Amino acid sequence: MKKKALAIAAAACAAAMLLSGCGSSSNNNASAESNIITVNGCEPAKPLVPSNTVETCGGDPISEMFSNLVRFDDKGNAQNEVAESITANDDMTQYTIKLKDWKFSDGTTVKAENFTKAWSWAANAKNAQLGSSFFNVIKGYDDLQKSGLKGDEQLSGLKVVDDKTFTVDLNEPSSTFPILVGYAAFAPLADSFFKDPKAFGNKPVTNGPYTFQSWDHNQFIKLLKNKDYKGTATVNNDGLTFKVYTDTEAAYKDVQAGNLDAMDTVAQSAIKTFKTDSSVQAVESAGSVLQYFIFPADMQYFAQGDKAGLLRRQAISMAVNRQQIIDKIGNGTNTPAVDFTAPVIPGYSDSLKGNEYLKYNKEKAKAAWDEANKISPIPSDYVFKISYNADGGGKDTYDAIANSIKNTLGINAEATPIPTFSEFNNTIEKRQIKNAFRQAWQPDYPSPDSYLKSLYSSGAADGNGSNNGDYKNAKFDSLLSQAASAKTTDEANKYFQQAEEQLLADMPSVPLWYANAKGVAAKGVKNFKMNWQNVPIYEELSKK
Amino acid sequence: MGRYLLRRILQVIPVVLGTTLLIYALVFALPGDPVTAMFGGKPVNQAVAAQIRAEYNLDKPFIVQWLIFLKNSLTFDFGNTFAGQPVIDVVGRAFPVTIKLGLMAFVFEGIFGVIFGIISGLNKGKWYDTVILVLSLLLISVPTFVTGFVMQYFFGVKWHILPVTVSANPGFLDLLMPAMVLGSVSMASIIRLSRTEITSNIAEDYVRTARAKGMSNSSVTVRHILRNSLIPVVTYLGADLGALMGGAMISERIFNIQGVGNTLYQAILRGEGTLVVSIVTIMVLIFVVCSLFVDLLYAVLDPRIRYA
Amino acid sequence: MTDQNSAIEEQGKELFVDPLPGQERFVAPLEETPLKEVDYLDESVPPTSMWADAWKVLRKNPLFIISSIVVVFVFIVALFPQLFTKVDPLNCVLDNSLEGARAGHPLGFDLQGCDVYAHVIYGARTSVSIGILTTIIVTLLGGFIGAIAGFFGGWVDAILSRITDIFFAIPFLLGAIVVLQMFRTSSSIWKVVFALAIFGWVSMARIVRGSVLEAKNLEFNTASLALGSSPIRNLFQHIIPNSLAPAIVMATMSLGSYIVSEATLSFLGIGLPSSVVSWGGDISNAQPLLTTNPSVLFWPSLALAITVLAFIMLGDCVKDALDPKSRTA
Repeated sequence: MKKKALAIAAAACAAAMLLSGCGSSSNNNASAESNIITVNGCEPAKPLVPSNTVETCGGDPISEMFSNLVRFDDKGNAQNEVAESITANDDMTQYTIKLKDWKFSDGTTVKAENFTKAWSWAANAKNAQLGSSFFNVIKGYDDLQKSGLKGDEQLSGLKVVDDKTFTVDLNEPSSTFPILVGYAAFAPLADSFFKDPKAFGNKPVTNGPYTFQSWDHNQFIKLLKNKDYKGTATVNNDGLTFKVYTDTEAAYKDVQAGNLDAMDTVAQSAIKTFKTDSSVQAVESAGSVLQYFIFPADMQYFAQGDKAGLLRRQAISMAVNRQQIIDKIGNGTNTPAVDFTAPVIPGYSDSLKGNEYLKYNKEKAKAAWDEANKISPIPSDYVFKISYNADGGGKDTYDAIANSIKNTLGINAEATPIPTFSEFNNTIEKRQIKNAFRQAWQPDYPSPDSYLKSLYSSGAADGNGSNNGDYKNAKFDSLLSQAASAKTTDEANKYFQQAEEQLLADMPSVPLWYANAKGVAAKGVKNFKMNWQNVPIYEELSKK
Repeated sequence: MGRYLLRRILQVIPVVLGTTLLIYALVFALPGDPVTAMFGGKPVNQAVAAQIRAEYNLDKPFIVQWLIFLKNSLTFDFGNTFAGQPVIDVVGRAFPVTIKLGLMAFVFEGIFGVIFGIISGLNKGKWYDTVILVLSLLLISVPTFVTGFVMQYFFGVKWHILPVTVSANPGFLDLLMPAMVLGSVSMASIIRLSRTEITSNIAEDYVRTARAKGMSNSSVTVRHILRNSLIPVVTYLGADLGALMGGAMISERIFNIQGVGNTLYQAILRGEGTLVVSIVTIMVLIFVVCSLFVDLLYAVLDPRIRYA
Repeated sequence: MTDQNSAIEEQGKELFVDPLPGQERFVAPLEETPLKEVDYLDESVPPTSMWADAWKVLRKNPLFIISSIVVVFVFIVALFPQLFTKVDPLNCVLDNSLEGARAGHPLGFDLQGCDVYAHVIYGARTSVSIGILTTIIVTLLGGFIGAIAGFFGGWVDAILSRITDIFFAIPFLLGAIVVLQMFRTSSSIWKVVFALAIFGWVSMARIVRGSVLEAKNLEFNTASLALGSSPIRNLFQHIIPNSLAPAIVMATMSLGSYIVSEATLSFLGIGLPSSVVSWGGDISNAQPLLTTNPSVLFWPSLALAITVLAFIMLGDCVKDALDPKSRTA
């Protein structure tokens, strides 16, 4: 009796769990003959609609599947893709765009209307697109942010001239608009999208180097080479598979074991060994991502517009031994920052006036700190805190930064983690962090504008953009608008550099380093390179 | 017994209601605005954010959100995830692999735990008893993630004996290492538990009586000592089945298994109340069923405990 | 039809079978049996309690002595770390990153250039505090709820058991993650203790409930009740002391697991900040160095393992001593 009861109970319990537990086993090893490349990916946070995708999990497959008016080459230069020409009027407030002959994967032609309707749909608040604010440069954007919209209202600034031509009216002059349209949200959408956006999100109709094959949620996104593609990208393989990983450690081990062809980053545990690891091939190149930390403009003892505050900000910046931290913690895989953009961005300069404040200098740092204390003393038990999000692998780095400040200035410094990126962003959004905090910036398009305007202009402050420290400087703003209306790129870059020198004088943030683009590929994979956005050039990878 | 069973089944209802309410309250109390987080640090368009909040009822108090969830779940409509997929699909994808993993870990810890426990218990004081005991204590005192990484490095990367990570439709070999990692701590507990039980049962009067009756040594061991020693072990295993699924989080992360633990962890990070509640509710149901069996077992195995 | 008397007589006849011819009924005189010695009770000394008995056994158990010494030593380290090292664990200079052992720094340095030995010494306080505080809270809370549920039974048991089910059903780690995330600022020891305890008490409650249920139905309890003792008095005098053994085993075993859990929380990125030195934090920090600098990972793991081991062995010995059954083995 006892034994029987035991057996039944155990069996019933197990059966309850077994119900759906049986599945067949299969191997997913990509066969060696086919030239399909498997790379690491992650589960997209939204359906595969370009204007609703603001993160890399969906962004990487989308940029391989869609062709915009322009496409960036690996240096970040915009080259006409679907656009035959993009021409501005004299004051740079109106652009006329002509299109090439181009086809969607369902066979329909890419017409001017596919751009204007897609952009209007994306900008329309009713459609709740996460990338909608990218369209705020276009006239009529504000009208589409009101309540009571139906969802099909159009941006008044977009006018279709004929099937191959349309014009764009901007709210203010912009020389960077031809670069902006290279951003993923500006992709054209086929007619079928507007009939059923939901179905489209699971099975997009595309016009880029790859077509959509399948999306096995939480496992794979599979793309196939688009045989009719005739744009600027070189496609060397027959297809791309993004395999979902939640931890880069696991992905790295799969590259070592030959289960994964390439990955766009390097696991923390391998940062010291990946360049000498004989089981993989490593890539490292200068990148566009800038790591920095911000002082809120009204931070106590460090406030903007206060002489002691400026001295302390400079002291902190000079107290961070960037090169040593890069060498010891990051194994030399970053480059110390000497400006507020990045070396791969046109207009970058390593000889800006005032960039000595971005270099480690123990004596000067200490002197500046002591001088500030003569003006207005800081309590001796003061603890300098830098907040960072703990889920982004920044612990080692920020602990090292805090230690560097502590040891150089002889003050108490500590790195304080906030559990998740989401919570971190939220406290920043609400301006609840009263001390310095971590930031990183990946530009949306290769122009100093994407760094400077987004991060430091008055228009982006107070929650209207990414100026999270609420730095405001009229002179800086005017230099940026001068750059925007400049006739040539060189002239624009001159203004951008002056604007950067203003930042160096005010020190609203401490640039740390440019994160090098680094990744690994399995043995036998050819043409493994990184582009300006620290993303592998997936379409050029090949196993043949 | 029948009435008791009925009453316990009826009691499942308040447990499920209570759990969903508790989870909703916890997820609601999580700091961080999930909608702001969706913009991934890019400028937040407030008009768009308001649209999304309304779509997921995030603009309502949590008790209203909970009631809406209950109402919809009566018609098996669990809503959509933030990624726009039906919650029921996501749950349906996550559970099978974790159930497999949990069952394998369960079998692993059950078999090896009991075997080593018996060897150890029947030979108390011998050198291999000490070795088994120390090894089991080591498994308990080293964090699972360290055990997992060490095993993954040696068996997977270095010696190529077992797959490094788990593929989309995992088979037995794929899940072997994750299951061992997952079950290791429980296995150590079972070794200890069965060893303790055996050593204390050896000294029982009925064992002495049986020996005095002239029963052979092996039948005393099997029929009296082992049988009675394994009762608490079975009870432990029953309660552990549910816990294994929850504890799969670390194992799933190390070996890249897209199961319940991973999905749940991601859902918490994203603040997706509906998804978290749906997953936890299923786990609660599995758990409640198991714990009911365990309680019934108590009554069957030990007549001194009575349920009215 | 027979009356009662004749029925008893009938039974009596069966019990006291008349001796067959040649047989004699023989009862040995008391002096000739060993019974007197077996049942001998020295009434000149007061009766000893269960705990005093246990102590007598424990004193002679070498395992108990070893584990006690380790535990006491760990306590001393936790209370007075400065006795064991003059190095400040928070004084980390990147120049020393991953340097090997040298004079004054017997175990070398970790990635941040902190002294590994000083970290191991100072980490004891945090890890032991977390283990002990969590265990105390869990034992009191879980023990109380379990004892009430098991003792009163009926609807009290039903309600408490369902509440226990709710908390038990939510995975321990998951609950801790959610609770720790609810605190906006970074974790402190108390927050970690709270997060571990709020979902950790359930196992204790179940164990205590089970053993109270068992003890309630044992003979001595029934006897005591029959003698007119009040149920509450019985709960404290007989049932709780007799259900204590499983609770103690549970407590010492989980004490170790709480220390380990702190490490896991650090691994998930929601553990203690770097300004608080703990073994768990050190282990999770050193985990990426597994293949390149295993010694940085080894020392805190060893300290943790030894401590956990000592507590578990201590618990085992106490349990054995309290349980007369295993004592004879």
